[in-house]
Amino acid sequence: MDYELNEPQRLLKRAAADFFAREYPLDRMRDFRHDPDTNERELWTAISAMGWNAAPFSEEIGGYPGSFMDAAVLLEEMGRGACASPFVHSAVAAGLALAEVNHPLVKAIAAGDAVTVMAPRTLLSSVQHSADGHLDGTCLAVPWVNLATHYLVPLGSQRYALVDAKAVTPDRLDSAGLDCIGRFELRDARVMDLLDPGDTGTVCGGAAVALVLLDAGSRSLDLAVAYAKDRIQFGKPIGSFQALQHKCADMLIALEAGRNLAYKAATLHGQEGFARLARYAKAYLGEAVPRVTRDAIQVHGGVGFIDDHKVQLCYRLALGLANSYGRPGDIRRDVAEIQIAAAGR
Amino acid sequence: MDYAYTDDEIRFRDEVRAFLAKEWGPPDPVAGRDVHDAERERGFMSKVASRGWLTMGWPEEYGGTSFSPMERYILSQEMNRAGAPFPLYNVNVLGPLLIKFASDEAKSELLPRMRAGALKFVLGYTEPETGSDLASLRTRAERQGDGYVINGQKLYGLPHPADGDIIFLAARTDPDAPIRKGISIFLIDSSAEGVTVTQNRTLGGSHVGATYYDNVYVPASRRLGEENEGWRYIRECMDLDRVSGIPYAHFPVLFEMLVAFAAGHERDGRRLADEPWVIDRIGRLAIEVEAAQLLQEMMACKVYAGAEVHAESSIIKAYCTELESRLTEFGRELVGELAALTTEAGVDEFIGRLNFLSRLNVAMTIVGGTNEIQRNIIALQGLGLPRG
Ligand SMILES: Cc1cc2nc3c(=O)[nH]c(=O)nc-3n(C[C@H](O)[C@H](O)[C@H](O)COP(=O)(O)OP(=O)(O)OC[C@H]3O[C@@H](n4cnc5c(N)ncnc54)[C@H](O)[C@@H]3O)c2cc1C
Repeated sequence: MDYELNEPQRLLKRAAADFFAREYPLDRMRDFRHDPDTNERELWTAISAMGWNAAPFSEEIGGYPGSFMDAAVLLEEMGRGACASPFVHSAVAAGLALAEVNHPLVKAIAAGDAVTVMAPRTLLSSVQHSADGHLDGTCLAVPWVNLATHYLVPLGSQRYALVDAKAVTPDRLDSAGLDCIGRFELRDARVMDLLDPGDTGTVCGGAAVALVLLDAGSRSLDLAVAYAKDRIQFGKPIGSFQALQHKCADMLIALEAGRNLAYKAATLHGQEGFARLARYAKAYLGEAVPRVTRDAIQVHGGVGFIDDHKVQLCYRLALGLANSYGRPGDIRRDVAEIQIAAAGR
Repeated sequence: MDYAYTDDEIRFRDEVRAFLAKEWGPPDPVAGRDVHDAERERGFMSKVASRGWLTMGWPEEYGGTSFSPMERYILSQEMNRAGAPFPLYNVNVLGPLLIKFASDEAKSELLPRMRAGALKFVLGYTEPETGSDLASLRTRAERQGDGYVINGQKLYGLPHPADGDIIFLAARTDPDAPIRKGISIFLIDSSAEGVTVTQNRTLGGSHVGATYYDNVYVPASRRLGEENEGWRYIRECMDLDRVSGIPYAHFPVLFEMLVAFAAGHERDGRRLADEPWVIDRIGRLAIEVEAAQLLQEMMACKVYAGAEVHAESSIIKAYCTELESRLTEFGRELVGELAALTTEAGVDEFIGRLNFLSRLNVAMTIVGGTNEIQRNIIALQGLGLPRG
């Protein structure tokens, strides 16, 4: 066992941390909402220019020489920076699904030239695949419709149709989260390819979301702790009240328990056990981090509820991602079914 | 012991429900909590006023109407359940307080407007440096001639000067006295010269305000009661508020909506309501929603019987606001990837409402005394534990 990052991972993590601290501190992220499309595009261009989109992929297909841990350290820093971008959805979820079936689009995703996102199978979306191979229906809560060049439209739980983004006219939808989400109608839309990546995209997306959530939570805790040391009520720093000390301690306990699930999943990518740990991490952090980030607001009292407070970015990021790539309840059900079946064997 | 309403109470509840169905709308966990339609509210309020519901429990010479405390409880629950804009704090707290302590001028100016449902008060307690520790407030009121000059800043309350809103302002009149002995309360016109109002959007989407006081002159007749006795009136407000109880009556309605959503949607041919985790959560929440209702009813019943209440309202506040958080968390998990969609997204009304309540709930564990402060009260006053 080894709990340390290796040298290249450390350097990458440092570079990402510096990028967010210098170029995109939380104040700047907060101002995105004044002109989201322009700001998101600029940030995405900067991320792509640094070559990060190649991180999830292996070297043979245009990726980094290292492992999935490279992508993991980037995902963590994105969480810390409350950075919502297509990285989770395109480079990790859709990208690794496409890599699973050796699709050539991967090269363009890794190079930052294509942005591919999976449309979720929401309760209100419906897509028909006609006999002549065209698609009709509605996709909802699709991430990053403002930047996507391609969509993976789900047909059932394991198959996807690859669709050129030019074939649809998406609307951005008002969201309480930070990730852009939208809707589009498919009208006799042409399918570029039919793919069978199984649940690779969902599982990898879940692992990525877990890592982002983990550090969004830990950033919110940092903000809460700093505020609790600073804010005086009743003549003392509020952080000296045991009620708040325990609240902050509980936040840390919740995050540390999740940290190892998310890290272990990341180290197992490409190996046996990855899917299991990725699901555990997603289910656990998908539930824990909305609570942690909300508690961070609670520590701030009323100012935390005002829209321009930085701590809200962490909460909003979590609110938007917590139920992506699998609802915690569904994942727990699947986990339980496997455990119960194993016990019966 | 009896948990049943009397026949009279049921008759009254049905009367209020029928009134609301006709004059406001069906039960709704969000209406009145999100968008404010001043015109509609005014029309509604005058109808509420004509029923005598805005002066329940006031002395007769001030237009008071005699309803039992149980009926007052039922009214506030039903208004809350329907999401109707009922000025509970005016009826239960500020009205009685003004009647007891305000000057004759202030009473004759303000009480008629309160009776008509045409006066809004904004609480001016919190400041940038003082929230939970209210007694340390710094806004200054200095004697000048026949009145006072106010300087300082308050946070969160958002008065609308054009509507003639009044700020119930706590200010320091004696900076040298012990902190609880140097505070006075003033009833300030938000349109007075020197008052500036700014606003900030919140996580919930609506706005909170900040008010700045730059040499604002207030006549002594707008001081409530005695000078330097403000803390006593603040405590009295808190006590009145405690026994009248903030209603949390929208949970059963929200809960029904959640269950209907689970029963009405399916994935891969399987109803959400057939998922074991959904079944378990619905069962758990059904029990908690009932418990929340009973906590509120029992407290109303105790107040009615004249029993002393101590930690009850703090227990209700902590339990109910945190239950709302569990209800909305479950709702978000039910709707999955759609959870981030707001009402403005225009996709689904229920999901938009759920999203709104999720965000609003974040404030509910902070306002009106944070849940940490409520737990302090429960521990100290309810359990008699020693102070730390
Ligand atoms: C939407 C909204 C509307 C509001 N409307 C009004 C209004 O109209 N008028 C008005 O006057 N105010 C209003 N408030 C202010 C509200 O009453 C305060 O936010 C609240 O009292 C907490 O004060 P604070 O925000 O300064 O937080 P602080 O008091 O600074 O608290 C910060 C954190 O410290 C904790 N803490 C503080 N003291 C203790 C202690 N002794 N033990 C343990 N923990 C402690 C708190 O629980 C909290 O978690 C509003 C607030 C909101 C969010």
